[in-house]
Amino acid sequence: MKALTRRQLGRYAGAGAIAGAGLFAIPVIGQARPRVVVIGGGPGGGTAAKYIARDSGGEIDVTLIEAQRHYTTCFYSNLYLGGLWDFDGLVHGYDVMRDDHGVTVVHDLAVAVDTEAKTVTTAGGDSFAYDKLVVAPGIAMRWDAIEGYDEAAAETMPHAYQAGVQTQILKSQLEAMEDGGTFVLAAPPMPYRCPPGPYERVSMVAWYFKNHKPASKILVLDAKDSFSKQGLFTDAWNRYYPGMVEWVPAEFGGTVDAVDAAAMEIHADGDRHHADVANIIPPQTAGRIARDAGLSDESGWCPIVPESMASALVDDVHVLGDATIASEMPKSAFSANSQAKVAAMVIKAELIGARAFPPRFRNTCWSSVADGDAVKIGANYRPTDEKLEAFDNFVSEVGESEELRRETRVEADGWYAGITEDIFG
Amino acid sequence: MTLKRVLYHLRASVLSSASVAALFACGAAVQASAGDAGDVEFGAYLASECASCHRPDAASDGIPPIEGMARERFIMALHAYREGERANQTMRSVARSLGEEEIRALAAYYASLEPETVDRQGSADQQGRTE
Repeated sequence: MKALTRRQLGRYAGAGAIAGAGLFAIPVIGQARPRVVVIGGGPGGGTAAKYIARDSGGEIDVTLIEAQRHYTTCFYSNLYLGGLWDFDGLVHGYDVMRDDHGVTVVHDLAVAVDTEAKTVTTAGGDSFAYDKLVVAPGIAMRWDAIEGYDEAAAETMPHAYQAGVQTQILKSQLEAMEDGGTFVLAAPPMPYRCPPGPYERVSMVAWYFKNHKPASKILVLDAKDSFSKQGLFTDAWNRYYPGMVEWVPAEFGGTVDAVDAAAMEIHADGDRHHADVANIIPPQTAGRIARDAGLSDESGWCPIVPESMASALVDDVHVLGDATIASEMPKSAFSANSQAKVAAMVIKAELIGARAFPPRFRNTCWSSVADGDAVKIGANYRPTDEKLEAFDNFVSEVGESEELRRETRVEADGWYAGITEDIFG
Repeated sequence: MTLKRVLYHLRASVLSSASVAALFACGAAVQASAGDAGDVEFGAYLASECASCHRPDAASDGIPPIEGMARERFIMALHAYREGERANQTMRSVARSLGEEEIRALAAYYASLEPETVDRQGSADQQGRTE
């Protein structure tokens, strides 16, 4: 029997006294509690687990299955590359979720879901039954998409798009590079995690080069012809890093089709580029467990019912965050966190009759372009039959005052503190 | 059960079945007696959206604390954002997504909270920003 929190023990003791049956009442009541299993402890799964457990006050048994003991956020990892943020500041644990909110945290890898029997099996061989399942595994890299780019090649040419060791490899390579070297970043086709992410990374690496290796160059090979906040990023690169950044769109040969990691060569549309440091961000797909569970369609991503984030394909399963097709919401930590609150509200209503409210979705993405200068983009989203439709969109403008940009930069740090508290605190 | 206690229970989530029932009954009573005062339980749900940025403590690094803000001040601030009299783009967008009922519910919820004084994670400076 799993450990009970002090709060749960108190409840059971009270119930036992009323029943007059002492400890005998515990397993009976324990089994009667509806069970939610959450796969993935990031912004989607972590938020869902916390909100369901906290706001049901122990009436729902919540188990979070997450392989890693600590979560390293991909958001803000670019600031670590730029020297504006410590690595330790990206790392968060599950103690509060377990000790204060009563979530049973299982550090194991979910390897199979039986959506008929409604069970999840882990690599460690344990099985967890659920009444409702939340699947939030994030992205997986498509190792078949770029010739020569497999997991072994990623040790030499990191993607650094799932934060942790990969981020540290890229950071150490940038630090080891000679001044005057070339950093090549391969940006993926849509859809992918964090649309402005590659371009914030270019900005942060440029900030590092400007301060430490000013003769260095950055070559961006892009599988797209345009990108998020393009005018804002281009303006920032021209102002802060003139002559340092070259961006090659798909229409002019930017699509990377092969790499030779041993030779540090990148092949794009017939051209060969040499890199001193190469950051290959490959095409992506929904995390493996979501695809194996039958939650994805032919696109490799998971269709959802917009008003509830329930799977459009499988009953009693909600899918959150990057793994979903939540158009028009971008794949972002903010989106996943927002979607999780809607799913938590719906699940509580269905399992214990908690009050249901209209679903609300929103997203804001801050991107730092230099120390003391950040831009942002955001919107509210309303569910329709087909999608999550954006309204009241906003985006920073070229030519804003230095003061406003500084405020936005500080606001971004405030957001990081806020959302990580909201997920892990 | 006082309103404060209802809110404490709502936040801390030490709800038993009995207290859930009591809470719902209290919530209905609050609504009925206070009229335009705002639906506190609805406010608590709406506030989960605010929690993506606003921390439940006194930290004000870039994003101000809103727990414990007086009801009228809260409502005026959101109206000012909605009308474009205050500048922050994110808050303008948030405010435009809220109707009067939602704004009243949020104001009622936040007005009734004590700001947390215990800083669990430390400020953003301590958290990760390099010196």
